[in-house]
Amino acid sequence: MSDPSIFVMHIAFRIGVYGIAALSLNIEYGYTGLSNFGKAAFLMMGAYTAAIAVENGLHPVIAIVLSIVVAGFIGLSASLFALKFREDYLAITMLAFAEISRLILRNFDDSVRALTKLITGVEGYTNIFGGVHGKVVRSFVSIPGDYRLYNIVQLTLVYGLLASSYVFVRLLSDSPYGRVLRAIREDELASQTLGKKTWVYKMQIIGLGSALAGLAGALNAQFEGYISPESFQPHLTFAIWMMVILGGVGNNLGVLLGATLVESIEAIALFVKSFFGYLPFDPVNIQWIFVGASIIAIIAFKPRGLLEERPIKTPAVEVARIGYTKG
Amino acid sequence: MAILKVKRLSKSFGGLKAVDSIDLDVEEETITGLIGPNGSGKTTLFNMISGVIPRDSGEIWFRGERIDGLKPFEIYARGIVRSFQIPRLFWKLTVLDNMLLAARGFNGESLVGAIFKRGGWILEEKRLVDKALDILDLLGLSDSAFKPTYQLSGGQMKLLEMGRALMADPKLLLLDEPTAGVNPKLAYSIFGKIEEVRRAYGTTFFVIEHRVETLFSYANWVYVMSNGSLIYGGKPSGVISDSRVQKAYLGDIHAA
Ligand SMILES: Nc1ncnc2c1ncn2[C@@H]1O[C@H](COP(=O)(O)OP(=O)(O)O)[C@@H](O)[C@H]1O
Ligand SMILES: [Mg+2]
Repeated sequence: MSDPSIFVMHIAFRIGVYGIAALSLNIEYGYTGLSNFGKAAFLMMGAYTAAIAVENGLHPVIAIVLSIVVAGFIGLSASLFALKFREDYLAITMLAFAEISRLILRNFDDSVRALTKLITGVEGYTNIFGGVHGKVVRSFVSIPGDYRLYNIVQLTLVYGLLASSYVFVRLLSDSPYGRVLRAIREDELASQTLGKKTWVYKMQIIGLGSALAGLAGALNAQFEGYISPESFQPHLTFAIWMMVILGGVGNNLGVLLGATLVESIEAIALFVKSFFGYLPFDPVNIQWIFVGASIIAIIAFKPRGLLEERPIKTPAVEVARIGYTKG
Repeated sequence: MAILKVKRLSKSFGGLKAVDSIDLDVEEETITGLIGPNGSGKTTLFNMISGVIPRDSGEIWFRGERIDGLKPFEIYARGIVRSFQIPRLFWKLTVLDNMLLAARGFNGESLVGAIFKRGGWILEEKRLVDKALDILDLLGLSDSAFKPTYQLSGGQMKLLEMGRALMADPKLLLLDEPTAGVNPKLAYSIFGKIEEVRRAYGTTFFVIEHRVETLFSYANWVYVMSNGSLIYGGKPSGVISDSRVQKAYLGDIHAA
């Protein structure tokens, strides 16, 4: 923490990454009402896919595309399973799915090694996922020597992709498709009696949300340079939820604000921890105390989040609205 | 010709026979009424026709095709649209959005269409907005078009439920107490509008209604249910003098 610009850079990067993750939860929960409590798993899948891809010499662009596709595909498959249960169970099913996936990644290499030894008698060595030891991830950007330029390129990458994600999510939410998503959130049965195949929408949204989460995971992994299953515990999911709830459920700019807020709180907490030598409680929990306090404040004063959901804007509706207010 | 045929249709909840082996026909392009004391099974019958709850036994035929066992969205696709006794609107959305959501075959509602065929759906939606505003105008709701739906009064909610159903160009419209919570004058004019739509588009209406006089001045045919059974089917003029109907309603009054 000697160079403050590194600290700031780090926060700025994380805000970009978790902005993408928050947008992905916003289309799931904010618009469609799907309580996906397994978000961390899809960041994890994106992260590991990117790590393995660059390790095998694939171009970063391909690594990014693969992360999106793999996480999206697994999300779609998981939703197929999870949505068979009643809506109330989606949250717990996804949470369980995330934990199971994480434990599989954690133990996969050891299990394969043990199995290989059992069958062939040979002590083989597998290291696809790195198990508990985690995995070093090569950066997508390689500019040796020039740290300033390296940082600028990293930030351009993450904010470019954040902007694209934002535009994509906006196009989706301000469209007749987005209108159906909100209808499903408000009353799924009524939507069905109006001809909507609601489970198709729900699966698509979990697929898309997971794909975006995979993108966030991939970007973060190559920036941090190291991933392990421990980085994808449920509290990562909860942090993303906090961003959406603080910022404004169903408001895309709001959830970006939420991501900024939660990440800044985390940074301040880190600073406080390193500033004070001794605290009367476990300093690891500082950011949760801050986040918890913000949540209470928001719920008390702005229960719908910092920015509220606004009506759907499509060209035809806007024209009619302007005509209406003038007439 | 009958557009809807219900044959020996039954539904029980636990030990209670909510609908008990009912047979009835709804003739095409009529306003057919369904009355009966509270709890006699009218809404349950509509729930089965619209696929919202599964039937226990019996058959439902629509335009010569068997539709019992189909999902709500498949029944909508065949041209049956319903309203709910307790309105089920999309509360946080605007009145206009509620209307647009009922439109049939809107390409902008598909994932690929929404993003890649913007030009197409923008034009399509212009036409749908005009249509929605016309219907809202007919129902006296145009002033509320851009309000969030939860701000409507109870009567306006019922009107919007009907407007939303009309937006779907139904062949058969099932209305569950369309005038509940509406003042008597407006109730009369709602039926006037139902009759207007029936004439203009040949829509068939099957209407559960408690305002018997209003219903009777428009309905071509009336069914009466009591305790899950059909006790009368015929011209409205014959209902009052029917002894089983008298007994069902008088019994109800005594109980109340
Ligand atoms: N989902 C349900 N579960 C249990 N009982 C129900 C359900 N729906 C309706 N009933 C019962 O079935 C009977 C008929 O109800 P309903 O069809 O709503 O009558 P109506 O619309 O004629 O007032 C009532 O006794 C009601 O309590
Ligand atoms: Mg009823």
